[in-house]
Amino acid sequence: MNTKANRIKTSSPVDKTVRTICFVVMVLLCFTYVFMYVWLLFNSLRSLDGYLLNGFNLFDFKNFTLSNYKELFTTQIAGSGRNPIYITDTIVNTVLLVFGQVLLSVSIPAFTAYIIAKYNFKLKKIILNIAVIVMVVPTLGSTATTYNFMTKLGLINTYWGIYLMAAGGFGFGFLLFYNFFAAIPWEYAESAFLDGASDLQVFLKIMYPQAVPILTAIAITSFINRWNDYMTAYIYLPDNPTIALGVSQLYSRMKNALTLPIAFAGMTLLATVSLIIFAIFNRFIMNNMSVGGVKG
Amino acid sequence: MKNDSTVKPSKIKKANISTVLFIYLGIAWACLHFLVFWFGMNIGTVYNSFFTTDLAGNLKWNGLDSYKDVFLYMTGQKSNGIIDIRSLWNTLSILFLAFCINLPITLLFSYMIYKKIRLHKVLRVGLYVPCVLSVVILCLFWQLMFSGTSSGASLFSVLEKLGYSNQKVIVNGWFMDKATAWWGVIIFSVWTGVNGNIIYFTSAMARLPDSVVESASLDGASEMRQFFSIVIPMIWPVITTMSITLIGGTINWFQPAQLIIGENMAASVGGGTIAWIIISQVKGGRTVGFPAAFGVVISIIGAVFIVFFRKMMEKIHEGVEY
Repeated sequence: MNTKANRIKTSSPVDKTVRTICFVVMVLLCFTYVFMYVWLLFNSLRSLDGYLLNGFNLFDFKNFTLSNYKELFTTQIAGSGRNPIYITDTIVNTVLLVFGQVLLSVSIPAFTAYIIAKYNFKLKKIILNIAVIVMVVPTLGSTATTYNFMTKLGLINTYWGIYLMAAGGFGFGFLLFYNFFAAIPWEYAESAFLDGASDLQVFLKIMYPQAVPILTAIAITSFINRWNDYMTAYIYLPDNPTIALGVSQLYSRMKNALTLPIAFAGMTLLATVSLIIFAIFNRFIMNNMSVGGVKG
Repeated sequence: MKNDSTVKPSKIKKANISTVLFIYLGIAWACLHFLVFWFGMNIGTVYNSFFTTDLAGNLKWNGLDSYKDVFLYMTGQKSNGIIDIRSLWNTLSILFLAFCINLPITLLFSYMIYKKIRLHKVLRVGLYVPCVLSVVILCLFWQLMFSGTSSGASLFSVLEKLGYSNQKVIVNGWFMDKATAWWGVIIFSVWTGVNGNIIYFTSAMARLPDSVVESASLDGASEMRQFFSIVIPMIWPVITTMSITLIGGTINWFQPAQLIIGENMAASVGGGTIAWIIISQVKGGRTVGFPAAFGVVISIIGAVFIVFFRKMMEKIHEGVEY
């Protein structure tokens, strides 16, 4: 990025105008995202009366209260009277699902991609085509049949159902790992083979450790995506909601009960976890997500 | 057995049985998963599309009737709630938006970051924020802001103080009216959709050879000239890949519409999408017949479109290597 060309400032009026317009629009967009979070956070700390009086009087610090957060953890957000679901239940569900899915996302696609990138075998071309087909044909079309299949297996509303669906070897993660492993020189493995290492040992002890940066980046983005995932839970976990689905259900309940600040507390909680992870790892994600290059 | 591009296997190790086992056992699970969850589900969808269920839940041959229904609904000759031609148009409008507005803006923003616009590091991180947040937060916040003063805190109350006077919109917001509901969703899509691929585009631009960009700059090419004549053609493969994911994303697109407009209002304000049709059918317990036929049609059209799109993109800027 530090090239001379980048640093040369052109004086063309068109360039200046474009730069100025882009800068203003980008700053405004960023401001709206920050405003969204601040608005939710501050209103989650306000009393219901204060919020109803003026939802934009955000800096009413004197009257800030944690009561909405107390309510958040004691209010039933979904389920029935016999089987109530609280926000803590959704957090437990989400954490269990997230960790299982993150592990799957950095193991199976990596192993599949490594074999296909580094070995020549009869089915290689067919499998590479499969990897492309999986990305080309929309999964939406088969949703009805998948749901039917999962229902018949008794896997709706279960963690195992979600793990099973997430345990595929292809997809975007495969593509990133494939590009990465394809670019690693084979010389690393040669000496290990000469020393008598097996193929699995070469993968586990030499190749896989080299993928740690991209693996971590995929794990972090996978964590954020799974933490935020609404659709999977909406379809396959209606009675065991994750936090994203739970917060949307909480919002509907609180909107009807005219107690929205409790929903804001839930929304803030959901957002804060993602933002903290992103704040800690943003440089890492930005630098590693395109390792190996996403090419056509 | 090792990849020819990296090593000649015969020099290192003969393809013994353990290597063969390693390869085939290693890819077995991925292939099995593909066979069950992709191939099996798609074949099952085609199969189910020719059946319907009777009251006892048994499959009953239905021939091409479900496909006829799909045709009638998608040509506007039949309508039932969100199963309406409007849903098709809505999905197409999101596709149009993704390619004609969001993608060009994302590319331009990425280029500005690559060219080290003021605060470029902060902007790069800031613009990525919507990708980090759940769609639930973005949508519910948007719904709150533009639902009108009758629903509580709304940006329209601020706009009213600034002189905006359309009382119908101020009180009811965008999402109760057929004329404005979808526009509200469209604007939301721009608000959250102009940044998702910045991380990939800026990384692709950062990999461009310094010499090419530098010489263009020394030859007096303006920034915008460099953008259109050098940067875009050279990162074309990345644009193609990300565009394909955009198409897939558009076909699956329903959550923002569902969360912003809501299930109850969707049909009356024309806020459905093709993905939402299928999901609502599934949630309603209907997995055989119409939803399967609709799924088959969407998969075929989607796949054919993606393949043609990819070929077209490859022809536009062929053989750019660096």
